[in-house]
Amino acid sequence: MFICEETIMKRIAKMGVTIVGLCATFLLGAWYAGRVNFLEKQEEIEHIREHIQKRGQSVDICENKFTEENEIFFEEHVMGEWSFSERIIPLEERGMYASNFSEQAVKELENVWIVLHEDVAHRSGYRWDTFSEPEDIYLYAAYGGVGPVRYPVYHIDNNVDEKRIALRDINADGGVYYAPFSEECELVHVTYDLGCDEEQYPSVNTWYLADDIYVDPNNTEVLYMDFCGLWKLERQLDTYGSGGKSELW
Amino acid sequence: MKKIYRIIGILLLFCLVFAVGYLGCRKIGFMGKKQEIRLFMETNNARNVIKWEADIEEEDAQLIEEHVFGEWKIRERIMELESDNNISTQGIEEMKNLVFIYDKNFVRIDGYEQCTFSDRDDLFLFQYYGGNYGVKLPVYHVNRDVDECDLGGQGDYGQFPKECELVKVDYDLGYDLSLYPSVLYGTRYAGEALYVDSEDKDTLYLDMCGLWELKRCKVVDNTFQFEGE
Repeated sequence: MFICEETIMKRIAKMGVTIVGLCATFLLGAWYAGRVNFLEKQEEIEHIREHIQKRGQSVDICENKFTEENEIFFEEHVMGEWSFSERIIPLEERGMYASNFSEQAVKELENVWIVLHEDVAHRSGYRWDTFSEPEDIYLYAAYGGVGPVRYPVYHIDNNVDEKRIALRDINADGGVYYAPFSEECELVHVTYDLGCDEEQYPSVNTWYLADDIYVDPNNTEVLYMDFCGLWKLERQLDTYGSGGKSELW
Repeated sequence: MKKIYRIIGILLLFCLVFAVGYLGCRKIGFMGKKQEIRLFMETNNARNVIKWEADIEEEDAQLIEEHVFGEWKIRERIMELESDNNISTQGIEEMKNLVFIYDKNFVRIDGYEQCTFSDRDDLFLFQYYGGNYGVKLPVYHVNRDVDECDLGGQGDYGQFPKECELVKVDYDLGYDLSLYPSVLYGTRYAGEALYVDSEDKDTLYLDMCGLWELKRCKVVDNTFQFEGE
Protein backbone atom coordinates (compact mmCIF):
# COMPACT_ATOMS: atom_id res chain seq x y z
CA MET A 1 0.00 0.00 0.00
CA PHE A 2 2.80 2.35 1.02
CA ILE A 3 4.83 1.47 -2.10
CA CYS A 4 1.85 2.03 -4.27
CA GLU A 5 1.24 5.50 -2.78
CA GLU A 6 4.91 6.35 -3.24
CA THR A 7 4.76 5.31 -6.87
CA ILE A 8 1.66 7.44 -7.41
CA MET A 9 3.36 10.42 -5.75
CA LYS A 10 6.41 9.91 -7.94
CA ARG A 11 4.28 9.78 -11.05
CA ILE A 12 2.42 12.91 -10.03
CA ALA A 13 5.71 14.67 -9.39
CA LYS A 14 7.07 13.50 -12.76
CA MET A 15 3.95 14.68 -14.50
CA GLY A 16 4.18 18.02 -12.66
CA VAL A 17 7.78 18.47 -13.74
CA THR A 18 6.85 17.56 -17.31
CA ILE A 19 3.97 20.06 -17.34
CA VAL A 20 6.17 22.79 -15.87
CA GLY A 21 8.84 21.89 -18.42
CA LEU A 22 6.32 22.09 -21.26
CA CYS A 23 5.04 25.45 -20.02
CA ALA A 24 8.60 26.71 -19.79
CA THR A 25 9.29 25.50 -23.32
CA PHE A 26 6.11 27.19 -24.57
CA LEU A 27 7.17 30.44 -22.90
CA LEU A 28 10.65 30.08 -24.32
CA GLY A 29 9.17 29.72 -27.79
CA ALA A 30 6.91 32.72 -27.24
CA TRP A 31 9.78 34.79 -25.87
CA TYR A 32 11.95 33.89 -28.85
CA ALA A 33 9.15 34.83 -31.26
CA GLY A 34 8.68 38.13 -29.43
CA ARG A 35 12.40 38.78 -29.73
CA VAL A 36 12.34 38.09 -33.47
CA ASN A 37 9.30 40.35 -33.90
CA PHE A 38 10.97 43.05 -31.88
CA LEU A 39 14.18 42.88 -33.90
CA GLU A 40 12.26 42.94 -37.17
CA LYS A 41 10.32 45.99 -36.02
CA GLN A 42 13.52 47.69 -34.84
CA GLU A 43 15.08 47.01 -38.20
CA GLU A 44 12.06 48.48 -39.98
CA ILE A 45 12.15 51.60 -37.83
CA GLU A 46 15.88 51.96 -38.43
CA HIS A 47 15.32 51.57 -42.16
CA ILE A 48 12.68 54.30 -42.17
CA ARG A 49 14.88 56.56 -40.04
CA GLU A 50 17.72 56.15 -42.48
CA HIS A 51 15.45 57.10 -45.35
CA ILE A 52 14.21 60.14 -43.49
CA GLN A 53 17.72 61.24 -42.58
CA LYS A 54 18.86 60.86 -46.15
CA ARG A 55 15.88 62.85 -47.34
CA GLY A 56 16.84 65.62 -44.92
CA GLN A 57 20.29 65.76 -46.47
CA SER A 58 19.15 65.55 -50.04
CA VAL A 59 19.06 69.29 -50.70
CA ASP A 60 22.75 69.52 -49.93
CA ILE A 61 23.51 66.49 -52.06
CA CYS A 62 21.77 67.98 -55.11
CA GLU A 63 24.77 69.72 -56.55
CA ASN A 64 25.70 69.74 -60.14
CA LYS A 65 29.46 69.31 -60.29
CA PHE A 66 29.93 70.37 -63.89
CA THR A 67 33.37 71.42 -65.04
CA GLU A 68 33.59 74.48 -67.27
CA GLU A 69 34.34 72.22 -70.23
CA ASN A 70 31.19 70.19 -69.55
CA GLU A 71 29.12 73.33 -69.22
CA ILE A 72 30.20 74.53 -72.64
CA PHE A 73 29.53 71.08 -74.07
CA PHE A 74 26.06 71.04 -72.49
CA GLU A 75 25.18 74.49 -73.77
CA GLU A 76 26.32 73.72 -77.30
CA HIS A 77 24.99 70.20 -77.67
CA VAL A 78 22.06 69.64 -75.32
CA MET A 79 20.38 72.87 -74.31
CA GLY A 80 17.54 73.92 -76.57
CA GLU A 81 14.36 72.74 -78.22
CA TRP A 82 14.30 69.47 -80.10
CA SER A 83 11.87 67.59 -82.27
CA PHE A 84 11.62 63.92 -83.21
CA SER A 85 13.20 63.22 -86.58
CA GLU A 86 13.27 59.44 -86.92
CA ARG A 87 13.46 56.25 -84.87
CA ILE A 88 16.82 54.72 -85.65
CA ILE A 89 16.69 51.69 -83.34
CA PRO A 90 13.31 50.11 -82.54
CA LEU A 91 12.92 47.76 -79.59
CA GLU A 92 12.45 44.04 -80.10
CA GLU A 93 8.79 43.03 -80.39
CA ARG A 94 8.01 40.43 -77.75
CA GLY A 95 4.56 39.19 -78.67
CA MET A 96 1.93 39.96 -76.07
CA TYR A 97 2.08 43.77 -76.05
CA ALA A 98 3.38 46.30 -78.54
CA SER A 99 6.96 47.22 -77.69
CA ASN A 100 7.23 50.12 -80.13
CA PHE A 101 5.20 53.11 -81.16
CA SER A 102 3.08 52.35 -84.21
CA GLU A 103 4.02 53.82 -87.59
CA GLN A 104 1.16 56.27 -87.21
CA ALA A 105 2.45 57.36 -83.80
CA VAL A 106 5.92 57.93 -85.24
CA LYS A 107 4.31 60.56 -87.48
CA GLU A 108 2.18 61.88 -84.62
CA LEU A 109 5.27 62.37 -82.46
CA GLU A 110 6.33 65.09 -84.87
CA ASN A 111 3.92 67.34 -82.99
CA VAL A 112 5.74 66.82 -79.71
CA TRP A 113 8.42 69.23 -78.70
CA ILE A 114 11.24 68.50 -76.25
CA VAL A 115 12.70 71.28 -74.18
CA LEU A 116 16.01 70.70 -72.42
CA HIS A 117 17.06 73.70 -70.40
CA GLU A 118 19.19 74.31 -67.37
CA ASP A 119 16.22 74.65 -65.03
CA VAL A 120 13.57 72.50 -66.69
CA ALA A 121 13.19 69.44 -68.88
CA HIS A 122 9.73 68.92 -70.34
CA ARG A 123 7.77 68.22 -73.47
CA SER A 124 5.36 70.53 -75.22
CA GLY A 125 2.61 69.75 -77.65
CA TYR A 126 1.36 66.56 -76.02
CA ARG A 127 -2.42 66.71 -75.93
CA TRP A 128 -5.34 64.34 -75.60
CA ASP A 129 -5.47 63.95 -79.40
CA THR A 130 -1.74 63.63 -80.07
CA PHE A 131 -2.02 59.87 -80.54
CA SER A 132 -4.81 57.94 -82.21
CA GLU A 133 -4.15 54.58 -80.56
CA PRO A 134 -4.35 53.84 -76.82
CA GLU A 135 -1.28 51.56 -77.05
CA ASP A 136 0.80 54.56 -78.13
CA ILE A 137 -0.55 56.71 -75.28
CA TYR A 138 0.35 53.93 -72.86
CA LEU A 139 3.91 53.67 -74.21
CA TYR A 140 4.36 57.44 -74.22
CA ALA A 141 3.50 57.62 -70.51
CA ALA A 142 5.30 54.40 -69.61
CA TYR A 143 8.56 55.86 -70.94
CA GLY A 144 8.14 59.04 -68.91
CA GLY A 145 6.49 61.32 -71.43
CA VAL A 146 4.06 62.93 -69.03
CA GLY A 147 6.34 64.04 -66.19
CA PRO A 148 8.16 67.37 -66.36
CA VAL A 149 11.28 67.84 -64.23
CA ARG A 150 12.22 71.12 -62.64
CA TYR A 151 15.88 71.76 -61.94
CA PRO A 152 17.16 68.60 -63.58
CA VAL A 153 20.70 67.60 -62.71
CA TYR A 154 22.63 66.68 -65.84
CA HIS A 155 25.52 64.24 -65.96
CA ILE A 156 28.00 63.71 -68.78
CA ASP A 157 29.73 60.40 -69.44
CA ASN A 158 32.33 60.03 -72.17
CA ASN A 159 32.71 56.28 -71.85
CA VAL A 160 30.11 54.93 -74.26
CA ASP A 161 30.26 51.54 -75.90
CA GLU A 162 28.69 52.36 -79.27
CA LYS A 163 28.38 48.66 -80.08
CA ARG A 164 26.17 48.02 -77.08
CA ILE A 165 23.82 50.87 -76.30
CA ALA A 166 21.49 50.12 -73.39
CA LEU A 167 17.90 51.08 -74.19
CA ARG A 168 15.10 51.01 -71.67
CA ASP A 169 12.56 48.32 -72.53
CA ILE A 170 9.59 47.77 -70.23
CA ASN A 171 8.80 44.39 -71.78
CA ALA A 172 12.32 42.94 -71.61
CA ASP A 173 13.69 40.86 -68.77
CA GLY A 174 15.67 43.27 -66.64
CA GLY A 175 14.08 46.21 -68.45
CA VAL A 176 17.01 46.75 -70.83
CA TYR A 177 17.51 46.04 -74.53
CA TYR A 178 21.04 46.25 -75.93
CA ALA A 179 21.64 47.29 -79.51
CA PRO A 180 24.59 48.59 -81.54
CA PHE A 181 24.52 52.21 -82.60
CA SER A 182 23.86 52.31 -86.32
CA GLU A 183 26.01 55.26 -87.33
CA GLU A 184 29.78 55.69 -87.32
CA CYS A 185 30.50 58.21 -84.64
CA GLU A 186 31.79 58.55 -81.11
CA LEU A 187 28.99 59.23 -78.66
CA VAL A 188 28.83 61.07 -75.37
CA HIS A 189 26.16 59.98 -72.92
CA VAL A 190 24.17 62.73 -71.19
CA THR A 191 21.64 61.84 -68.51
CA TYR A 192 19.58 63.82 -66.10
CA ASP A 193 17.76 63.05 -62.89
CA LEU A 194 16.59 64.81 -59.75
CA GLY A 195 20.12 64.96 -58.48
CA CYS A 196 19.74 62.14 -56.03
CA ASP A 197 19.23 58.45 -56.46
CA GLU A 198 16.19 56.65 -55.10
CA GLU A 199 17.97 55.83 -51.86
CA GLN A 200 18.29 59.51 -51.16
CA TYR A 201 14.88 60.45 -52.53
CA PRO A 202 13.01 57.33 -51.44
CA SER A 203 9.51 58.60 -52.06
CA VAL A 204 10.06 59.60 -55.66
CA ASN A 205 9.64 56.67 -57.94
CA THR A 206 9.00 57.57 -61.52
CA TRP A 207 10.60 58.02 -64.91
CA TYR A 208 11.39 61.25 -66.66
CA LEU A 209 11.27 62.03 -70.30
CA ALA A 210 14.55 61.80 -72.17
CA ASP A 211 16.74 61.10 -69.22
CA ASP A 212 19.11 59.18 -71.49
CA ILE A 213 20.55 61.25 -74.30
CA TYR A 214 23.45 60.52 -76.64
CA VAL A 215 25.41 63.33 -78.25
CA ASP A 216 27.54 63.24 -81.36
CA PRO A 217 30.36 65.62 -80.34
CA ASN A 218 30.89 66.61 -83.98
CA ASN A 219 27.31 67.67 -84.56
CA THR A 220 25.53 70.29 -82.47
CA GLU A 221 22.26 70.04 -84.42
CA VAL A 222 21.45 66.39 -83.67
CA LEU A 223 20.73 64.44 -80.47
CA TYR A 224 19.87 60.78 -79.89
CA MET A 225 17.32 59.97 -77.22
CA ASP A 226 16.34 56.71 -75.54
CA PHE A 227 12.54 56.88 -75.58
CA CYS A 228 10.89 53.57 -76.43
CA GLY A 229 13.69 52.88 -78.90
CA LEU A 230 16.50 55.19 -79.93
CA TRP A 231 15.39 58.39 -81.66
CA LYS A 232 17.22 60.96 -83.66
CA LEU A 233 16.24 64.46 -82.60
CA GLU A 234 16.86 67.59 -84.57
CA ARG A 235 17.34 71.02 -83.15
CA GLN A 236 14.43 73.33 -83.85
CA LEU A 237 15.18 76.91 -84.60
CA ASP A 238 11.54 78.02 -84.68
CA THR A 239 9.92 78.58 -81.35
CA TYR A 240 6.41 77.51 -80.50
CA GLY A 241 4.25 78.07 -77.47
CA SER A 242 3.68 75.60 -74.68
CA GLY A 243 1.33 73.77 -77.03
CA GLY A 244 4.17 72.94 -79.42
CA LYS A 245 3.30 72.80 -83.08
CA SER A 246 -0.36 72.03 -82.49
CA GLU A 247 -3.08 74.33 -81.35
CA LEU A 248 -3.73 74.67 -77.67
CA TRP A 249 -6.75 72.74 -76.47
CA MET B 1 14.82 0.53 -25.45
CA LYS B 2 11.52 1.59 -23.99
CA LYS B 3 13.27 4.36 -22.09
CA ILE B 4 14.92 5.68 -25.23
CA TYR B 5 11.57 5.84 -27.01
CA ARG B 6 10.12 7.64 -24.02
CA ILE B 7 12.93 10.19 -23.99
CA ILE B 8 12.59 10.78 -27.74
CA GLY B 9 8.85 11.16 -27.30
CA ILE B 10 9.31 13.70 -24.53
CA LEU B 11 11.88 15.60 -26.55
CA LEU B 12 9.52 15.69 -29.53
CA LEU B 13 6.73 16.91 -27.26
CA PHE B 14 8.97 19.72 -25.99
CA CYS B 15 9.93 20.69 -29.52
CA LEU B 16 6.27 20.73 -30.51
CA VAL B 17 5.32 22.94 -27.58
CA PHE B 18 8.23 25.28 -28.37
CA ALA B 19 7.03 25.51 -31.96
CA VAL B 20 3.44 26.19 -30.85
CA GLY B 21 4.64 28.93 -28.52
CA TYR B 22 6.86 30.44 -31.21
CA LEU B 23 4.29 30.36 -33.99
CA GLY B 24 1.48 31.54 -31.73
CA CYS B 25 3.41 34.54 -30.57
CA ARG B 26 4.74 35.31 -34.05
CA LYS B 27 1.18 35.36 -35.34
CA ILE B 28 -0.12 37.59 -32.62
CA GLY B 29 2.91 39.79 -33.03
CA PHE B 30 5.02 41.47 -30.46
CA MET B 31 3.49 44.82 -31.21
CA GLY B 32 -0.16 45.13 -30.31
CA LYS B 33 -2.57 46.80 -32.71
CA LYS B 34 -2.41 50.03 -30.76
CA GLN B 35 1.36 50.12 -30.83
CA GLU B 36 1.30 49.43 -34.53
CA ILE B 37 -0.99 52.42 -35.06
CA ARG B 38 1.29 54.56 -32.93
CA LEU B 39 4.28 53.41 -34.96
CA PHE B 40 2.50 54.27 -38.21
CA MET B 41 1.61 57.71 -36.86
CA GLU B 42 5.20 58.38 -35.79
CA THR B 43 6.80 57.23 -39.02
CA ASN B 44 4.22 59.06 -41.16
CA ASN B 45 4.86 62.27 -39.23
CA ALA B 46 8.62 61.79 -39.32
CA ARG B 47 8.51 61.44 -43.10
CA ASN B 48 6.61 64.67 -43.39
CA VAL B 49 8.89 67.60 -44.06
CA ILE B 50 5.94 70.01 -44.08
CA LYS B 51 5.31 70.37 -40.39
CA TRP B 52 2.73 73.10 -39.96
CA GLU B 53 -0.52 71.44 -38.81
CA ALA B 54 0.09 68.61 -41.23
CA ASP B 55 0.99 65.83 -38.79
CA ILE B 56 -1.63 63.18 -38.08
CA GLU B 57 -2.85 62.35 -34.57
CA GLU B 58 -3.18 58.83 -33.18
CA GLU B 59 -6.93 58.89 -33.83
CA ASP B 60 -6.30 59.82 -37.47
CA ALA B 61 -3.67 57.11 -37.80
CA GLN B 62 -6.21 54.57 -36.54
CA LEU B 63 -8.76 55.82 -39.07
CA ILE B 64 -6.27 55.38 -41.90
CA GLU B 65 -5.26 51.93 -40.68
CA GLU B 66 -8.84 50.73 -40.42
CA HIS B 67 -10.53 52.58 -43.26
CA VAL B 68 -7.89 53.15 -45.93
CA PHE B 69 -5.14 50.53 -45.84
CA GLY B 70 -5.82 47.51 -47.98
CA GLU B 71 -6.81 46.52 -51.49
CA TRP B 72 -9.75 48.18 -53.21
CA LYS B 73 -11.69 47.78 -56.42
CA ILE B 74 -14.11 50.12 -58.13
CA ARG B 75 -17.79 49.37 -57.61
CA GLU B 76 -19.21 52.34 -59.52
CA ARG B 77 -18.73 55.97 -60.39
CA ILE B 78 -21.11 57.96 -58.25
CA MET B 79 -20.37 61.47 -59.50
CA GLU B 80 -19.04 62.84 -62.78
CA LEU B 81 -16.95 65.89 -63.48
CA GLU B 82 -18.95 68.91 -64.58
CA SER B 83 -17.00 69.16 -67.80
CA ASP B 84 -17.34 66.71 -70.69
CA ASN B 85 -13.98 65.17 -69.91
CA ASN B 86 -15.29 62.07 -68.16
CA ILE B 87 -14.26 58.47 -68.52
CA SER B 88 -16.70 56.65 -70.84
CA THR B 89 -19.10 53.88 -69.81
CA GLN B 90 -16.76 51.37 -71.40
CA GLY B 91 -13.83 52.94 -69.56
CA ILE B 92 -15.71 52.53 -66.27
CA GLU B 93 -16.07 48.81 -66.92
CA GLU B 94 -12.38 48.59 -67.80
CA MET B 95 -11.40 50.44 -64.64
CA LYS B 96 -13.19 47.79 -62.61
CA ASN B 97 -10.24 45.48 -63.35
CA LEU B 98 -7.86 47.75 -61.46
CA VAL B 99 -6.84 47.23 -57.85
CA PHE B 100 -5.97 50.29 -55.78
CA ILE B 101 -3.53 49.43 -53.01
CA TYR B 102 -3.00 51.78 -50.08
CA ASP B 103 -0.24 50.87 -47.67
CA LYS B 104 1.82 52.74 -45.12
CA ASN B 105 4.86 52.41 -47.40
CA PHE B 106 3.39 52.76 -50.88
CA VAL B 107 0.36 53.54 -53.00
CA ARG B 108 -0.07 51.93 -56.37
CA ILE B 109 -2.57 50.69 -58.92
CA ASP B 110 -2.28 47.04 -59.90
CA GLY B 111 -3.64 45.62 -63.11
CA TYR B 112 -2.94 48.68 -65.28
CA GLU B 113 -1.53 47.40 -68.55
CA GLN B 114 -1.27 48.33 -72.18
CA CYS B 115 -4.60 46.69 -72.94
CA THR B 116 -6.54 48.02 -69.92
CA PHE B 117 -8.30 50.78 -71.85
CA SER B 118 -9.62 50.37 -75.36
CA ASP B 119 -10.39 54.04 -75.88
CA ARG B 120 -7.56 56.55 -76.12
CA ASP B 121 -9.55 59.34 -74.42
CA ASP B 122 -10.13 57.15 -71.35
CA LEU B 123 -6.45 56.27 -71.18
CA PHE B 124 -5.44 59.90 -71.56
CA LEU B 125 -7.77 60.95 -68.73
CA PHE B 126 -6.60 58.10 -66.51
CA GLN B 127 -3.00 59.20 -66.95
CA TYR B 128 -3.84 62.89 -66.70
CA TYR B 129 -5.45 62.33 -63.30
CA GLY B 130 -2.38 60.50 -62.00
CA GLY B 131 -3.01 56.87 -62.92
CA ASN B 132 0.52 56.53 -64.22
CA TYR B 133 2.26 57.27 -60.94
CA GLY B 134 2.54 55.27 -57.78
CA VAL B 135 4.16 56.72 -54.70
CA LYS B 136 6.71 55.22 -52.36
CA LEU B 137 6.60 56.24 -48.69
CA PRO B 138 3.46 58.40 -48.98
CA VAL B 139 2.69 60.93 -46.28
CA TYR B 140 -0.98 60.77 -45.34
CA HIS B 141 -3.09 63.69 -44.14
CA VAL B 142 -6.54 63.64 -42.56
CA ASN B 143 -9.15 66.37 -42.76
CA ARG B 144 -12.30 65.86 -40.69
CA ASP B 145 -13.79 69.16 -41.73
CA VAL B 146 -15.69 67.97 -44.80
CA ASP B 147 -18.85 69.68 -46.01
CA GLU B 148 -20.96 66.88 -47.50
CA CYS B 149 -23.30 69.48 -49.05
CA ASP B 150 -20.48 71.11 -50.98
CA LEU B 151 -17.80 68.55 -51.48
CA GLY B 152 -15.58 70.52 -53.87
CA GLY B 153 -12.76 68.36 -55.25
CA GLN B 154 -11.71 67.90 -58.86
CA GLY B 155 -15.24 68.09 -60.18
CA ASP B 156 -16.60 70.73 -57.79
CA TYR B 157 -19.05 67.99 -56.89
CA GLY B 158 -21.55 69.79 -54.67
CA GLN B 159 -23.91 67.61 -52.59
CA PHE B 160 -22.59 64.14 -51.77
CA PRO B 161 -25.30 61.68 -52.91
CA LYS B 162 -25.30 59.47 -49.81
CA GLU B 163 -26.23 60.11 -46.19
CA CYS B 164 -23.02 59.75 -44.27
CA GLU B 165 -20.30 61.61 -42.46
CA LEU B 166 -17.15 61.87 -44.55
CA VAL B 167 -13.53 62.29 -43.61
CA LYS B 168 -11.05 63.36 -46.27
CA VAL B 169 -7.76 61.48 -46.49
CA ASP B 170 -5.12 62.51 -48.97
CA TYR B 171 -1.45 61.88 -49.43
CA ASP B 172 1.57 63.50 -50.99
CA LEU B 173 5.34 63.18 -50.90
CA GLY B 174 5.55 65.23 -47.73
CA TYR B 175 7.84 67.77 -49.32
CA ASP B 176 7.51 71.50 -49.26
CA LEU B 177 7.91 72.20 -52.96
CA SER B 178 9.36 75.64 -52.32
CA LEU B 179 12.26 73.93 -50.53
CA TYR B 180 12.43 70.89 -52.81
CA PRO B 181 11.44 72.32 -56.19
CA SER B 182 12.76 69.50 -58.30
CA VAL B 183 10.50 66.88 -56.75
CA LEU B 184 7.99 66.31 -59.51
CA TYR B 185 6.41 69.68 -59.27
CA GLY B 186 2.89 69.67 -60.61
CA THR B 187 2.66 65.91 -61.05
CA ARG B 188 -0.51 64.16 -59.94
CA TYR B 189 -0.44 60.81 -58.21
CA ALA B 190 -3.09 58.15 -58.50
CA GLY B 191 -5.89 58.43 -56.00
CA GLU B 192 -4.42 61.13 -53.85
CA ALA B 193 -7.80 62.36 -52.56
CA LEU B 194 -10.00 59.88 -50.72
CA TYR B 195 -13.18 60.21 -48.72
CA VAL B 196 -13.85 57.81 -45.88
CA ASP B 197 -17.32 56.97 -44.59
CA SER B 198 -16.59 56.95 -40.86
CA GLU B 199 -19.27 54.26 -40.30
CA ASP B 200 -18.18 51.88 -43.05
CA LYS B 201 -14.71 50.30 -43.13
CA ASP B 202 -15.28 48.51 -46.43
CA THR B 203 -16.18 51.50 -48.58
CA LEU B 204 -13.99 54.29 -49.82
CA TYR B 205 -14.64 57.18 -52.20
CA LEU B 206 -11.90 58.19 -54.63
CA ASP B 207 -11.68 61.53 -56.38
CA MET B 208 -9.94 60.76 -59.66
CA CYS B 209 -11.62 62.15 -62.77
CA GLY B 210 -15.00 61.74 -61.07
CA LEU B 211 -15.96 60.41 -57.68
CA TRP B 212 -15.73 56.62 -57.46
CA GLU B 213 -17.06 54.21 -54.88
CA LEU B 214 -14.42 51.62 -54.00
CA LYS B 215 -15.06 48.40 -52.11
CA ARG B 216 -12.54 46.45 -50.11
CA CYS B 217 -11.41 43.29 -51.86
CA LYS B 218 -9.31 40.22 -51.17
CA VAL B 219 -7.40 37.62 -53.14
CA VAL B 220 -9.42 34.52 -54.08
CA ASP B 221 -7.86 32.02 -56.50
CA ASN B 222 -5.23 34.55 -57.58
CA THR B 223 -7.83 37.16 -58.44
CA PHE B 224 -9.09 40.10 -56.44
CA GLN B 225 -12.74 39.82 -55.45
CA PHE B 226 -14.96 42.01 -53.33
CA GLU B 227 -15.05 40.88 -49.73
CA GLY B 228 -18.15 38.89 -48.88
CA GLU B 229 -18.69 37.66 -52.45
